[in-house]
Amino acid sequence: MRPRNPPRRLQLARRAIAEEETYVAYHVVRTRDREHPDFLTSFRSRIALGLPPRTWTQEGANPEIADGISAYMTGEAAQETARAANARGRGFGEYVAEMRLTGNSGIEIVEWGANGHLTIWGDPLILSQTVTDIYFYTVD
Amino acid sequence: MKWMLLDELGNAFSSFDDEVSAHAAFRSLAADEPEAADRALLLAYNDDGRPSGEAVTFDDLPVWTFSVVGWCAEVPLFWSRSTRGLSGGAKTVTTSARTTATTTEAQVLAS
Repeated sequence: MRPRNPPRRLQLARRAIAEEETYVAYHVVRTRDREHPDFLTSFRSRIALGLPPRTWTQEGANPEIADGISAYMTGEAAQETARAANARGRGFGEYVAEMRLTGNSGIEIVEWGANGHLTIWGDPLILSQTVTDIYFYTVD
Repeated sequence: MKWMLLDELGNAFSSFDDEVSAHAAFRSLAADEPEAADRALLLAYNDDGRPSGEAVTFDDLPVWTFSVVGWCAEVPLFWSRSTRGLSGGAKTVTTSARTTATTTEAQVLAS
């Protein structure tokens, strides 16, 4: 059964990374091999992969969400999210990449949803190059 | 607590302040885009922003999620999808005592 009205549009405080700012975020990736195509794919958004925003979700009301990737402000939140998905057979990666987002890179972010969750917008290649560390988390 | 729907890429595409709304949205996604719902996961996050409990797939979702709210007690009732079509009826999974009113799915649907 469907709600009578689709979700309302969120007022997302999307912003660019400031010139002198370094914003650390953690994103789940499929491989630690930076040369592997899956590594770059891990930084491609739904729209970059040719998939449309889902209607009747907040993504339908805010289609820009589909043009970004999710990340977390702590590595623990990223790895526990990935671990929970893996436990249900829906794994989307077994590695956590630490990203250091800096200004003048065309990267934008918005913090929304759960505390410490953010969506990042940027060129996938540039985003992949912000990775300073990749670590494997233990799969339960 | 917050609930977020995540897709197969790990990207969140909806966020909710209560479980009833999250379940209703998951069902509406399934009605509109069943394939997307089959690949989606619902995760609860605590106030520290860390996942709390198991991720929920659409197959895990109860057919109905609603609350009976009394002056001092709330009894969430779930009808497991696994019992649908079998001899099972409504079954109570959780009973908790709360004094605050909660949103029922009927209220969500009416909003």
